[in-house]
Amino acid sequence: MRLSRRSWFFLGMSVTCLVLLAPTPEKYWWVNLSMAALSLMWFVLFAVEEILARRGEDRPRARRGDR
Amino acid sequence: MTITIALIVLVALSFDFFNGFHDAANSIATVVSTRVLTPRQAVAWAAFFNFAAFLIFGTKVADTISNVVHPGTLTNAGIFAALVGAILWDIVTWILGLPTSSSHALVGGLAGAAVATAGWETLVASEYQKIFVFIVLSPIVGILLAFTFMTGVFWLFHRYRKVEKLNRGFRRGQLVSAAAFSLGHGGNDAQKTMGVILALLIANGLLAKGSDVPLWVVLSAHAAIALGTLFGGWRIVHTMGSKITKLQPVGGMCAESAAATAIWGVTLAGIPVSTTHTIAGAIVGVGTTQRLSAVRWGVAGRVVWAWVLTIPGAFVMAWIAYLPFKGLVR
Repeated sequence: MRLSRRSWFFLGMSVTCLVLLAPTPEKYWWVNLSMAALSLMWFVLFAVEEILARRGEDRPRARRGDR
Repeated sequence: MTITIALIVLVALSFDFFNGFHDAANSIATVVSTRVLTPRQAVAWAAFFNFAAFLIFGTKVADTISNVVHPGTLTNAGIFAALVGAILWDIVTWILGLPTSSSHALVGGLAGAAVATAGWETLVASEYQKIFVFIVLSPIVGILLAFTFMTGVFWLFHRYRKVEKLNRGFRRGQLVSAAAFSLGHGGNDAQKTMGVILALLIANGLLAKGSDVPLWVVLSAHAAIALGTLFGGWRIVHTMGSKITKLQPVGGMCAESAAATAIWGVTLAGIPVSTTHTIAGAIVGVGTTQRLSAVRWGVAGRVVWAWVLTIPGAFVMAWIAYLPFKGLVR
């Protein structure tokens, strides 16, 4: 799946927050978890947007080929 | 003994002054670069809120700082060396125009002096663990919150056509966000100096272990950081305000609001973080709303290098600063 660098950037941040769970004192886990969730949300939104945009670009080309 | 303590308190307050001087750029860079305030007005604005922070935040960060080393192990000479190490590191990075963290320098300095005094076992691992985790987490929180705020603002106002009126609103909003950030900066950073003075007073038996920070310490620490901000350093304004990414008033407002939210949260939780790196992260977050290439990653990379090197750098400087005192009686 080809996604933009921005999408991977947010996925990377989400993973970093989750990796940091191990050294984070349990009292502050909510910070890691909320930031991982927020970052993951942006990753998913960007990924969906990019996939839909690519499909939109592909469709007219297919019609032209049909003719 | 009293003169020694007074001198070390003075050095601690000088560190606080220099912290304000060094970090003034963080509070005002975005307001100055978007031309909402002139540099002179901006430093006065930030300094006022640096001082006013004592009315809002408690002293939890000060307690954390005073506990990074086992109580009683740091001598007066050790505390002095820690401060000298941190100040030297701040001066070197200021000359180089690097937006490093005075907080990390202090944490590194305390560790260096403590290790030189009584070895590695004097460091309280759980406190350092908490600090190290948030060294990494705080810029990430800044990036994510700033990106979210900026996207939210775009989403709310994208149909609004009166751009001039909108920009005027964001300029006013930036005054509020800069004030909120300066409050957070004053709250978190002044408390680090309070923590050092608290440790000093406890080490000399002037306060019992677990005592609250005396009011004169709170007021003098806030006054010192506010004065430092007033005399602010200008080299870093350029790096923070325009080199990382080009900012508009809306971006400045979102970056400061995001950094302020993050810093208020950690200050209330008692965690010492770098205000420098939180706002640098927030500026990167605003840049990424355009596209990743809008962020000058070379400059951001320089910030990260300074970030990585600060604790070891200040550690070594404090360790060296302690050497002349080795073998001397407290």
